[in-house]
Amino acid sequence: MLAALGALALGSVAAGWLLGPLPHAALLGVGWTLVSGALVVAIWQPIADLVALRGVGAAALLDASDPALAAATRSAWELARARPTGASGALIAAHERRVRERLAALRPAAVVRVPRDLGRAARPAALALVVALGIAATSGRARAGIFALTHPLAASRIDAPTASVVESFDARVVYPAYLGRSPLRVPAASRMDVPVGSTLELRIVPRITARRVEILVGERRLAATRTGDTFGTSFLVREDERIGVTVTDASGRTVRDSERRAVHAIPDAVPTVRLTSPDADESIDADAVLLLAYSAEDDVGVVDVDLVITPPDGQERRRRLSTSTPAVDSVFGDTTLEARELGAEPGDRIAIRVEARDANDVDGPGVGRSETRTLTLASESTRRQDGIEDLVNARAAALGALADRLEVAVPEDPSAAMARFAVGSAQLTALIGALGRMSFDARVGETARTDAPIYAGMVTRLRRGLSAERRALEPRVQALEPRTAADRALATELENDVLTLTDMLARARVQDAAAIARELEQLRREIASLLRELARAPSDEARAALLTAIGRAEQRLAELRARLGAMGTSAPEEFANVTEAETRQTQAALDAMREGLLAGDLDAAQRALTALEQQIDGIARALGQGESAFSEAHFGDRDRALAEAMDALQGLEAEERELAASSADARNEAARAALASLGDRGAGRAAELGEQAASALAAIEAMEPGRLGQADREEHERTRQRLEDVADALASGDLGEASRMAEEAETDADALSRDLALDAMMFPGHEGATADSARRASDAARRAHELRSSIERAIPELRQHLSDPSRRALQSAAPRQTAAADAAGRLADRFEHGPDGEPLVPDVADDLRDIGELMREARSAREHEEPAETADAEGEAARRLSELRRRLEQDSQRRRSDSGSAGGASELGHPVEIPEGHEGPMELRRRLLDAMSEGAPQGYDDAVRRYYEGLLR
Amino acid sequence: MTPPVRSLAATTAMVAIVALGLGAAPRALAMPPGEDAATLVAAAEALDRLRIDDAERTLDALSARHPDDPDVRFERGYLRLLRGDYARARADLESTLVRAVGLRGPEERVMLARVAHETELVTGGFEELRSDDGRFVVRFAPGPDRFVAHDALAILARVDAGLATELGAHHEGPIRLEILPTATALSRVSSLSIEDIERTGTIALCKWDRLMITSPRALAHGYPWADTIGHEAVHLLLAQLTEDRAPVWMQEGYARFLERRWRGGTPAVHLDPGSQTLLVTRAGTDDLIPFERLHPSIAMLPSAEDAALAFAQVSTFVEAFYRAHGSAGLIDVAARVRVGEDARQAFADAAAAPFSDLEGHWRDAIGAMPVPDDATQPIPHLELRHGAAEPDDSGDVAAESARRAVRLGDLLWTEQRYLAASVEYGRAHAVAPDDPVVASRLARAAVRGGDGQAAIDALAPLLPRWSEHEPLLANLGAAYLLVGDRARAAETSRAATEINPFDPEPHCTLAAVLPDADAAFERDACAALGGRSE
Repeated sequence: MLAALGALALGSVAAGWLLGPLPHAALLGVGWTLVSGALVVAIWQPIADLVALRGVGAAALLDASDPALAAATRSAWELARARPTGASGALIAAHERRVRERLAALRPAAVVRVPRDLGRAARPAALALVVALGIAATSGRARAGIFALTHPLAASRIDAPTASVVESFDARVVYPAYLGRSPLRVPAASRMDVPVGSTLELRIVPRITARRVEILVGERRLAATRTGDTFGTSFLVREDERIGVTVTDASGRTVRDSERRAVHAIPDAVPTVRLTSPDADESIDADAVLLLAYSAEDDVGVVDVDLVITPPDGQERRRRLSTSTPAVDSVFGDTTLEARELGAEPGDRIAIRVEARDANDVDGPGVGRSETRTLTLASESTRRQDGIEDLVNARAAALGALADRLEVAVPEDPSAAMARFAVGSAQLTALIGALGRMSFDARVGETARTDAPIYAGMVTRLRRGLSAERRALEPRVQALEPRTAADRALATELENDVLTLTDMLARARVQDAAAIARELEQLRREIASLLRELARAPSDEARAALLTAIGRAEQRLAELRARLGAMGTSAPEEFANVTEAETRQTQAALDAMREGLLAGDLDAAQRALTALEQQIDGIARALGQGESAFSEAHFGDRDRALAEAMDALQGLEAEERELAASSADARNEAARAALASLGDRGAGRAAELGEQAASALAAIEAMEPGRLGQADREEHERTRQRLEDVADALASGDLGEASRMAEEAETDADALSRDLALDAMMFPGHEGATADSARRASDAARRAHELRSSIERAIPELRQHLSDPSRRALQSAAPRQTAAADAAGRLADRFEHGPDGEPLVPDVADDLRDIGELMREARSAREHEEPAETADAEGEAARRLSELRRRLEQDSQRRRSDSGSAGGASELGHPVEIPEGHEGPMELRRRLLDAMSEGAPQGYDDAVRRYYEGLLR
Repeated sequence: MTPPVRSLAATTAMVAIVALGLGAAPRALAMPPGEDAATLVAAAEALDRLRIDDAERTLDALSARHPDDPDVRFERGYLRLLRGDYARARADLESTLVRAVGLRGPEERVMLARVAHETELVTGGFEELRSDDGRFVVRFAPGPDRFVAHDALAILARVDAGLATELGAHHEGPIRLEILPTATALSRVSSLSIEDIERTGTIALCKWDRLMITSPRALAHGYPWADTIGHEAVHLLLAQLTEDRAPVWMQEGYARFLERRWRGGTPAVHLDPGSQTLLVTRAGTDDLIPFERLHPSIAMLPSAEDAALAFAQVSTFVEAFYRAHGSAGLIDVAARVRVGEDARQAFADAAAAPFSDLEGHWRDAIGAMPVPDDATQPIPHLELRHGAAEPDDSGDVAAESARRAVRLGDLLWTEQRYLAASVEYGRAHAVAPDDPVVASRLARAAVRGGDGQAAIDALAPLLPRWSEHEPLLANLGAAYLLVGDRARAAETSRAATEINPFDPEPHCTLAAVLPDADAAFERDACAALGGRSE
């Protein structure tokens, strides 16, 4: 059988060789007859052998190993088929059973053995097989013939006759220049992986006499050029393609080669770019300098690397970080980025990424991009968010500490008690630390100062409780009862703290969202103003500014949605009613506005603006209601107490101002009378005051008039002029004139100080310039006041020049001053002890007690009929009360609005209100400036200018 | 423009057109000529009397003969509104707004056109479930309301059978129920303002031959929507039986008395302690509301307290009548009213006694009523949900220290500190053992800890008083499941879903206790509503 198989293999190969690639049909028949004959011979003997083993013939397998068993098997088989007449069935069955048992016990190898002559028979068969395979491997003709044999119909297909007609198919890959690689030869190529842009040069040798050879690349047909027996062509690889070959023989018959070939185009990988620093989204301060570190790698080579900055207006800006000629495999670098460079405002989010281009000049360049990082410029909003996170963490810590105490009872066992205490005290120490930091931050920060005493109170009580618990355990573990009491006291404190922190958290979230809504409204006004400006004078700059404002509004809206989403059930229900739908509609209005703007349809943008206004109003109303309801429900007592204390403070200030005005009148009257009687004797004293006047003058000159508005500049100039007059009068020894000029200087300086203080509350100016001017003006006013007092004190015997009515007035108002001093003391107590025992606002009580002390000095001066001392003390007391009230109002305003530049100050406990038709200061200013630029009727220029300036002040 | 704004604008425009049209168009009778005019008048009368099949036959013929006659079109529009074909109803009704119409006044025409217009807008995207025989149709907004609709279909069949027993008739069908997603939607498709709804707690209506209920998800804590369907279905059938001649007090009396009939057994009024106290007290001071003052609707009474008293009055009156004269008496009264007899007289004639005697018996029955132990309990108030926020019922706990402990427990629960939370809930329960909110929280914690019996101990005593407090029912069901009492678990959980079908807990319990065929829906609801996976 093995020999037959060897013959079959050899016969087939020989037939293939004889037939060749394109045999005639008759020859193909002969070939198949030969192969079939060989096949029959090859399988005849094995089949015959197997047939012999049918039925009882299988017993022959046992003849060699166990002839007795073979005989028994035959007899069992025959008896089972034809039982002899009269034979015992039981005996036959027993015989069969025995045979079966013996057969079952036999090993198969003992029955079927390898014939001893197998080795002899196998050798020529194996030799024939090897020869056949060798011929097939080395002879293309043989292979072609075998293909023809096995595909008898392929060559006769009408549409695409196919045969193995290509003897050799070699390729040479010429890589694109940017890769800088040498060409590569690929012999007998059937599938080639080559970079996109490579040129493939093909060399084909047909197996038959060919007149023409064509290469099929996808749908294209490329005619190959003949050089001797070889045909050649080339093509550029752009994408994956199948490659076919057709050969036309001398008779004009075209046959397609049977072998399948293909080229796989490998696209050029884009550079791999990483932004290693910053490695996450970050919040940065406005003056921060950010370190950027990056890397870029590419197999072709990196040519250049850019930093791409996307500010709120969405218009990308690029900064070249590196350029490499020639291209390099990898680039590592770092650079700095200043927040100022981003042109962003606090709260803006800037996206940055790094991009690298490679040297691919065929289908590139390939551009790789790093991850995008979002930088958020720190703002009141981010600071508020930090505060909220602090509250969340503190509450979680308090809840954890409380839960541990509730879940594990105080153990009797001393060592277990100590272990429990160790865990609990560690938790509480961490909580106390966090609350202490929050207290400090609140106290020194510009917002939420009123929260500082609440945190401080928690810290004090927790410390006290922890100490009590420690005393119950150290140095000796006490009985269970005192330890349980200490534990219960701490748990109660933690419960109170958890609830307070929860309320504060909810309020902080409410206020945070409300503040963002206010920002949104401010942006809407800015957008409205810019839109008008654009309509009046279209320009790319105006359009860009508008897009930036819209981008900012979108960012605020996204923040608002995120904050509302984070509230969950911790905020009041009313608040959560600012639904996704409302904010989505706001976003739709912004989208519509942007589209209108980009399409140049300002009417559409204006319509979208109206929709935006309505949506923002809706959000503001809902947030305002939520804030109001929540504050009333959770902080009503405290806020009410604060509001009442503020009312009392205002009343006290009014009373003290009245007293100060009356004592100032008395002093002025006495001074005038004294001056009239003084004559030339004041010259000596006047010289001593020269230095003080110079100091006041220096203070007013320290201000920068360029930073002031027109009206303020005039006031500043008047003040400066009057102070110079004072100096001149003092130099000439004219105390009377000096006193009059000092009085005017004081009045002007006061007015300037007041105006700037008001301005600073609304418009702090760039980097707080207005606020700085206001502080300087205040300082100058104080010095002018002191100068005038000094001048008047320099006028001797003022008391003796008091008229009787003034003397009686001084005396009679002394009890009022006493009452005012007492009221200041009581008010100090109210600020010091709120309804929950904690101070309403830190430090205020001390200030009020100091002011009370001034009032008592004033009372004493009144009783002694000292007009100058009285006026000085009362004036100072009134000034400090006024300053304190303004500070508290600003605190309150900051607490409830996002920043000092936010819209109108809202009182404590009032909802967020954006009144109908209200125009914010920015909007008003812009409108007025617009109007100013339109000019005034001839002859009325100055009047109109003053009118506008007055409005702007 | 947002959909509500668009809708408002469209309605405003429509009303403006109507106003102009009504003001400008000359009033000329535009009835079809000859006998058809009389036929149309008869059809309109049939519509008003809810003999809809009769009207339909007539109007089909008239419409074929006078397809563009404004009066015919209006009546056809009205018919289509009653049939629930809102789009075509709106087209017909609006087409007649600015044309001369002889049969109906301008107010009625504008009102019906507005209703058709708004109803088409509100229900435009609704899905529909229909019983196999097509007799019951439930339409609802896509989304979780499908869980209400599924049960509502089965409840409608039981309601129909129960009312047939008591009132001796079936509605001719199909019985259509629309589940409106919000109270605002209910206001838009009806003549009620949102203020009326808020003030009186009216969250369902039977009008224009269909039942309309507000989805329980529009209320903060759900409401007994299944009994509400029973209530409105009584209106539907009684309107048909009396050809819509029953006065409001009679309608509400029958409806409140029979609204729970579908649950089986003898019908009985179910008064909450607050309403019962109010009834007894006001009867004692002779300060009851005259039945005539209940017109045009109890929903339009000035306060929720008045509405509660009115319902208590009329339902106990009907109950007293039923106790004496049975369902035959109720059927007799309806038949008399149908032929135009005054309702008071109909009651008197059916009882063969003066109405004053009936009133006297009723007052005696009120006098015999006990004042409930917790007489200080307020009238149950349906609280509408505003916005998407999850309502927090911890604020409903009256005792301050208990409320504080519940708040703390909730915070600990949110932090997954269940054991600690249960300590706080336990403290709250010690202070306020009769508070259903507190007991439900404690039970929830006990169930979580595997102590079903503790949960049952906390909740079971409160069940008679707070049988409509959904969290109590849901937690009690879960507790019964835990102790292996599957029958009670099923009963209480089913009761919970009949208050608030959007709480996954009772669905999860039902999925565990019901046979496989019925459990599939509950498993789906449990999973879809975010319930426990086990």
